Amino acid sequence: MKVFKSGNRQRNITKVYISKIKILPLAHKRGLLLSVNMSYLLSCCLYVWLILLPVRTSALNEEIEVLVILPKNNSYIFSISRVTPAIEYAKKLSGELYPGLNFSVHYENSDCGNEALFSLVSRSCMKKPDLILGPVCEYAAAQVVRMASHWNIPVISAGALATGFSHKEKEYSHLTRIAPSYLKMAETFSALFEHFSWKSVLLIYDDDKEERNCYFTTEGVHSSLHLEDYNVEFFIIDSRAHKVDTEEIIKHIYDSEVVIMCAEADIVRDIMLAAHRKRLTNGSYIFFNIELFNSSSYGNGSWKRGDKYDADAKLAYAALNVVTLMRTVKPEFEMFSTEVKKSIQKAGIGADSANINMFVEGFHDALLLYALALHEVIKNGSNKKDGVQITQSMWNRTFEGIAGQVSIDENGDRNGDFSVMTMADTQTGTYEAVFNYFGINQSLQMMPGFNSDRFTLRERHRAHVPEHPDKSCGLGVSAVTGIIVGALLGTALLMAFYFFRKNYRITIERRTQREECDIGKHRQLREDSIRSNFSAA
Amino acid sequence: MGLSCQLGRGKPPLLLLQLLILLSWGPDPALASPPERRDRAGLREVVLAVILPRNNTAYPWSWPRVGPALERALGRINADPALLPAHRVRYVFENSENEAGICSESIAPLVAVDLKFSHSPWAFIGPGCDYTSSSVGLFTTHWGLPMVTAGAPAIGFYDTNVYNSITNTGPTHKKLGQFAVHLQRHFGWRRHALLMFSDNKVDDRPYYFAAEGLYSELGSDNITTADLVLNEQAGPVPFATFLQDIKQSGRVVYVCCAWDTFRQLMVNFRKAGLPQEEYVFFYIDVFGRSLDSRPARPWAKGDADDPIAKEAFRSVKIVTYREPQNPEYKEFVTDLKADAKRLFNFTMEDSLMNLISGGFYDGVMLYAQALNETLALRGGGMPPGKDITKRMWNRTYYGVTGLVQIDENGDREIDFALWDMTDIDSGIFQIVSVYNGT
Repeated sequence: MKVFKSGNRQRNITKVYISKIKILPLAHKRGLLLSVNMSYLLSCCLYVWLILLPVRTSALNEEIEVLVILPKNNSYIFSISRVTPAIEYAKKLSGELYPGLNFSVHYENSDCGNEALFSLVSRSCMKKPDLILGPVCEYAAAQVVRMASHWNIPVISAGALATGFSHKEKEYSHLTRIAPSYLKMAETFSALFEHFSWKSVLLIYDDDKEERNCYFTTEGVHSSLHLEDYNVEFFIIDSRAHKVDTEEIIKHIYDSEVVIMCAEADIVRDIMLAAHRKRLTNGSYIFFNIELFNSSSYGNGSWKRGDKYDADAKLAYAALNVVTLMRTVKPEFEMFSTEVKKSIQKAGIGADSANINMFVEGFHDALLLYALALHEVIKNGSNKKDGVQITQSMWNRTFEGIAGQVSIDENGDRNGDFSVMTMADTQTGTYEAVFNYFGINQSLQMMPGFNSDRFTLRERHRAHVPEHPDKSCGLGVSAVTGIIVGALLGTALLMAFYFFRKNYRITIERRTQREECDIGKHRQLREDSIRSNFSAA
Repeated sequence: MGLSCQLGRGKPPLLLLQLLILLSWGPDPALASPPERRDRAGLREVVLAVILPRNNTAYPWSWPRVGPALERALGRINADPALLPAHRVRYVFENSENEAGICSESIAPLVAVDLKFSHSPWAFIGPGCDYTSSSVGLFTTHWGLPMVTAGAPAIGFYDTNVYNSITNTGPTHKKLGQFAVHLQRHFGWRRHALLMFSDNKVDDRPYYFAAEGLYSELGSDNITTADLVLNEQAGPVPFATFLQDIKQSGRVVYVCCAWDTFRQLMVNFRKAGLPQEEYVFFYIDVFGRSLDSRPARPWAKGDADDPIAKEAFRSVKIVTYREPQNPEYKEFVTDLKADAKRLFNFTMEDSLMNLISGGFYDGVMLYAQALNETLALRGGGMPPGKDITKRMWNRTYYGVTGLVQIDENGDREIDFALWDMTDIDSGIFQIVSVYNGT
């Protein structure tokens, strides 16, 4: 549409009106033509007004269709009911910052699977959305992001944390990740390994073969450590298929210095208890557990269960370090947290004490980031349909999110800050942060609670021989027991041989006597036969 | 549509009136239901969406191979008013390959959705690759549209809970597995079989899926299986280790891999001096690529190992599809080759891959017939895909590839051929037995 110059505006409109009025008297005679021309006149007015409209209004004025694709099922901590209040809050906030942007948000069920893509496609039949938030689950996100990138629609997710999404040249070009990916978390480990000069690591993870969160978490750690020359070993467990064999795991731990685990809290506890029984928690090995999402609904992460192993577990967990997201607290966050919790309780979901997890914060910040980027893009002359520009505008920038500063790197991934927590008080069993890792400058900050003893590998017996043979192990016979048994058997054998040897000797003698008799007989016969032969000759 | 997006809020009602008048003149906005298209002759248009690899002729279902057959089928349907009265069929094509020329399961759903939005097809023809067919098959099930293919042989597609829109008029690995069960019964081998296959996990994994068919069917016949996986991409194949495994875990060995690898395996087998009479190797070569020479000498490569290979191949039997024996097929292949040369500048050889093209031809004809019957009952616009699909299942149709018998799950009953060395001196292989799936 052409934009008329402001000076000519009035004159052009008048011209149009006059030309139409001239025609009118002629049409007056035919009623039908009159109505037709009136419509034509009105349509022309409409066109003209619409042309003027963007010129007249100087403020930003856009209707943004937002499609949120998340699971409906509330067993996910990023379900629609949990995230909706955060997005509504962000909408209000954006309304104050950018009054012209009007977000119209629709929620669709991703079912953490193929349903996500179907929901997107069903919704896009008539009109495609302008922004997609989510999905979080890896496999759902992969399909949705591919389709969205194909359609030039920006996608922002607080999930899609797998390493594969870092490759944004083609398939995932329109994805911005507002929460730090597993690869970012793994940078913490790289920094620790470099700092302490550790060389070998055992990665233990539970692969449930469906959503595979721990698989992708461990993949991030492996990708990061693999780049340096560390010796990385794996132990994969499948808690749904088989019972976890902690003895087998312990055997694999002997060859590594560091153990990094990703599994449900109960399994981690079992492993730590088994390690404690075998005295591996005495400082010869460093244990890590990855527990990222700041939410108590991922299982009781602490050692306490109320069973008979609590005391041992507390001692075992003194050697366990937990890698988690760093918590920052802003005054604005408190208000946000209260409002979101209120809405969630109204929705009828259980009131957990820590309901505001990384995903809820992330989707709030996602909407703000989009508003920020769109505002810039429109100022530069483009519009909401330019997915590439909007995505580029969201990358390589820092802004204030609801829980603190949000820094997006030049690849569209959030730089993350992580904390390493250890048990500060072995009496009460409480944890505190000893390290903070800042993703934005990749620096490791030591906290006052840091005790270098905890992180230094103690001299340890390199052999596989434990100090106390475990007779209750059954098939796991220790070498010492073997030696003792062997010695006993050897002695028994020698004694048996000694006694048996005497019998044997007697037998030999008897046989020899008989042989002599026989030989004598034979000799005689031979001599006879020879004689007879000779005589014949 | 664009105008309605640019209007802001709170405008006077007069504008709304103007808008209404304008819209009543203007073109219709995007319709909620697929438009009923009629061409100039007043015939209703049936659009078929075709998703196949455009250029890579290594696939038996690539466009230069299937395109001529499809053109011929549509030509026949449109020319004969009795086949599908009052309708005209046309197709729209999209490529399922990525830049590397490999069929891609990420590109396929994108083009499927684009085709659905732009053309509102009545059915999908293809894809052929397993992973690609899976993503498109999930969509067609979701949309309730029939999908007809002669590819997609993996046994996963037999699951009608997930893929209930797919009708397969070509050979599938479930039927291959059933043939293996029949073979084991025939020879009296009731206990155990060893499956060896190549899998590099990055392509469409054809050997893996073939072995999966065998594994599944043999397993349900109470025959235990062990598997050995080769990966030619991961360095030189450790044949010595594999022969050890074969010695320990199997006497009846099914091998699905490239011909060259199989030949090397047999040469190594012979060189290892294992007692040949105790072993039998079934080489699954469904398209008979090792038997291309006339007369068939699958052991011959023209290198120094030929005599050893000839000896080794005495323990080998080769499983292939059976070429349709009906006269229409020969005519079809002749036409196919001529059309391929003319339309796609592609020289097609005589091979068993042509039966895939025949399968697609018969699939389209069967679809047209089922559509005709469904329309005759209900009339009206596009019928629900479920009805048409149901009509294609559990029925018999006589097509260019002979008797097309579709079972109650949408898979076709197929015939197999077993090749064996009939003359030990010359080493020639011939068909010794034929399995009639129907």
